[in-house]
Amino acid sequence: MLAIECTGVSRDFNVKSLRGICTVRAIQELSLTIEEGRTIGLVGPNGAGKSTLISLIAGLIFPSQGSVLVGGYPARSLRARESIGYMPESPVFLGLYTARQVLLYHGALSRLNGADARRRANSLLDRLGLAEAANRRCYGFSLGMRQRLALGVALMGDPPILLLDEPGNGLDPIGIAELRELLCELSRSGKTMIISSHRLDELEKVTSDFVFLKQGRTVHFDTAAASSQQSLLRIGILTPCKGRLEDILPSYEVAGASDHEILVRVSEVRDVATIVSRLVGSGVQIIRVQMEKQTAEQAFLSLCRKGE
Amino acid sequence: MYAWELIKETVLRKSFIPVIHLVWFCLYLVLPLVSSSGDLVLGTLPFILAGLLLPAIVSVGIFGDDIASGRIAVLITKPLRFSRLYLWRLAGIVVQGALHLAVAGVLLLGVNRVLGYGSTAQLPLWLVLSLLLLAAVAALSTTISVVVKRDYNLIVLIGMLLLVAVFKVNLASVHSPAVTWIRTLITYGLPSAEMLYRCGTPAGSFSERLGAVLYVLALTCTYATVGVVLLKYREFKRACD
Repeated sequence: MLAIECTGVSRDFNVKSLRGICTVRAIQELSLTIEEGRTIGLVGPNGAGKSTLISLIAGLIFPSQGSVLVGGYPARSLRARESIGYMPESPVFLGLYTARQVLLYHGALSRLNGADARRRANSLLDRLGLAEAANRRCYGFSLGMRQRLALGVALMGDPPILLLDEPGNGLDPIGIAELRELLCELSRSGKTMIISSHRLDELEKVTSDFVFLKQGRTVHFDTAAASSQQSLLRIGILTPCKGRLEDILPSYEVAGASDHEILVRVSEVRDVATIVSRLVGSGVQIIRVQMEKQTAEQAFLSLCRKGE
Repeated sequence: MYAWELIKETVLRKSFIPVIHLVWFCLYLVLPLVSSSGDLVLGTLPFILAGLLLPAIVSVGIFGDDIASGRIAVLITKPLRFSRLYLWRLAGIVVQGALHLAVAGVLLLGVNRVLGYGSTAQLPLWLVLSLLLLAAVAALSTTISVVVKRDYNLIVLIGMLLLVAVFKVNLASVHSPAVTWIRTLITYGLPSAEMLYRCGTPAGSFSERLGAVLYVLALTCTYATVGVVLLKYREFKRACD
């Protein structure tokens, strides 16, 4: 079953400039389907349209073209909103409310009864490391504490779909590790999550599924395949063979070569043995072989640089 | 439970709101004492202070604050009908207004009975009329708050008040198409304090009073309906990153 389905979605914004009002297309005919239970990392350079896409799915804005369905219902409909928990990039709370009151307030808006709301609030306060600050007013909270509380707010109604916009913003290293653990736990429990973040190294520890956005379009989707396709085999050599590589490895993409090293892109691990045996068979002396799986960050940078 | 939370929030959302109530209570005690008229109708005080001014101040930015701070993004994604979100917040202002008026009534009775100032003629009627006016002004202000930035919320309301005052003082006797248009707008489009005020005076007949009350109720419902529709269909944009 599909949790989120975007079909031919475009979104235009009117932007004021010195020459008057011009139209900017933030999302361009984007089609995307996300199955239930998947965790998707939403990445892209600044201005790529990540927040716009999350806002469209959350129902904060409407598409100029196309449709957005959440749990099979149009975004912003009551049924769609029953399925989502949203965490904004810069969370703000009523300053006079304590952390516990904030959670109880959002629990009530999520239609929980008093006892359930209290139980869930207590559990989330413990889980998010806010138990000691539970009765403190929010106006004194640090950015990291506000982020934790915002995540609690998103989780209060126990929605099946979570839209998290930069959840690691302002968290200290311990907070980031705890957040990662929590996100992995939520992912294992079957939640569908879209996590927008610039921290690719952290995202990679939670999911291997990424949506790369660039200028309002998806650049690539199946990152697991992309990563393996772009694994790099680094081979240290004693015998220079730069000029003969096309003959020795005709079916492989050579990413770089020097007198001491050859870099070959491989799609599967078994290619390593083939490449090494062909090189040895051609009289190349090998002193080191190292397989470098491409990180999400490298894949992201390579996707961003393509077409520049 | 959400209804109670939304009502409670209208009082707790800003620290100045309880202070405004306290200041108004002090005014009920002080104004009759400093009034030059020995036979001041005490019911007119809450009519102006609580019916007209209190909701305008208390409801400032009731949605505009959320929109400006980004809190609205989280509220909008909650599984709650927009009509309920709007109406229970409006109800919050009306409930605090009703409690305020009850306290005001007790204070004014005290001023009259203990200190012997003013007249308490038709005080319960004045309190009911004040509540009706309060509900209409609160609905208008809440609806304005859905579309106007919080900083402009009060300015728009005060602007309307000034428009009415200027019109009454300077233009009421002028006959021109523009003035007729403004007169129609003021008479039928804005919460008519004058219409309700006449209900509190002995001059008003029963049918006039009933008509005024029904009209103000209908106006309140109209403002609220417009507010709900605006809330349902307006976008809450965030900056692109």
